Amino acid sequence: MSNERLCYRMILHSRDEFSNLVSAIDSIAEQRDVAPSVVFKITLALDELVSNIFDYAFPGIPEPQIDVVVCVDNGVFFAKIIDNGIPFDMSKLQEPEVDKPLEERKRAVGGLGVFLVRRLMDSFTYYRYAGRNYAMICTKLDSENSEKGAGDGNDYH
Amino acid sequence: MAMTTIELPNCTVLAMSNRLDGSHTQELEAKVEELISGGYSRLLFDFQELDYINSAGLRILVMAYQQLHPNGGKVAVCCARDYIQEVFEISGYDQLFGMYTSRDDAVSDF
Repeated sequence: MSNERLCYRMILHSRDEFSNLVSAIDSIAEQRDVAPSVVFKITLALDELVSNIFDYAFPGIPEPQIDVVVCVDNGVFFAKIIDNGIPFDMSKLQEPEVDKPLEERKRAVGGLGVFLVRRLMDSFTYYRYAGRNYAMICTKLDSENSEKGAGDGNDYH
Repeated sequence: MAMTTIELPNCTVLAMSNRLDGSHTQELEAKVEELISGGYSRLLFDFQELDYINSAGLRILVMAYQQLHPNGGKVAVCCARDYIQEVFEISGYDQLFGMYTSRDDAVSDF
């Protein structure tokens, strides 16, 4: 597996354009021989973040856009997801009560997407700067050596 | 995503292939609603050929469970790939649905 940095950048204007990002991940996976299970969790994490941003960050924004950079470098995958939406701190989203039976959960199905991102990525950080939301995710490509889970949300800044 | 519906004597199998993502969740939701309103109360989701599911896809299974379980119906999943099974486990939904490694095992348990 080459250790040289490989990056793709794209601008998404609508949810439908997420397929372009899937193609970029598939291209990275093919060039770096990434295991299907790792491709799945990377794609899922990006899907959930992009979906949340399009669903919640753009009320009243005339030209919504998400600027996404995905890279592999030295056996690590990382992505920057930058949007021009309203302040949208995903760390404020309440986690689903996954340890309780569905009938006892106050919020039965909400918040699952971001919860999955936290659990599937090795790190997940968010900050707001100069009118933009920045979300960053990172995971090792070798799932066998992955220290799984971005933990309990303490990685947020 | 391609979806095949198979009616068996004791349950209805929904076999999906490729990707269950944003563009296909509405299609599946409409199919599940159609089955439930048509009186089908035992649904088996066969993920043998499914490569991808996201939280929106999971919500459709939960929606089916919420409608069927209180009335004696059942929702089960079979043949999920390891990494999809992991998502069910992380979300706690593996405790909600019957999860089976083969379609035959799932069908015989309905």
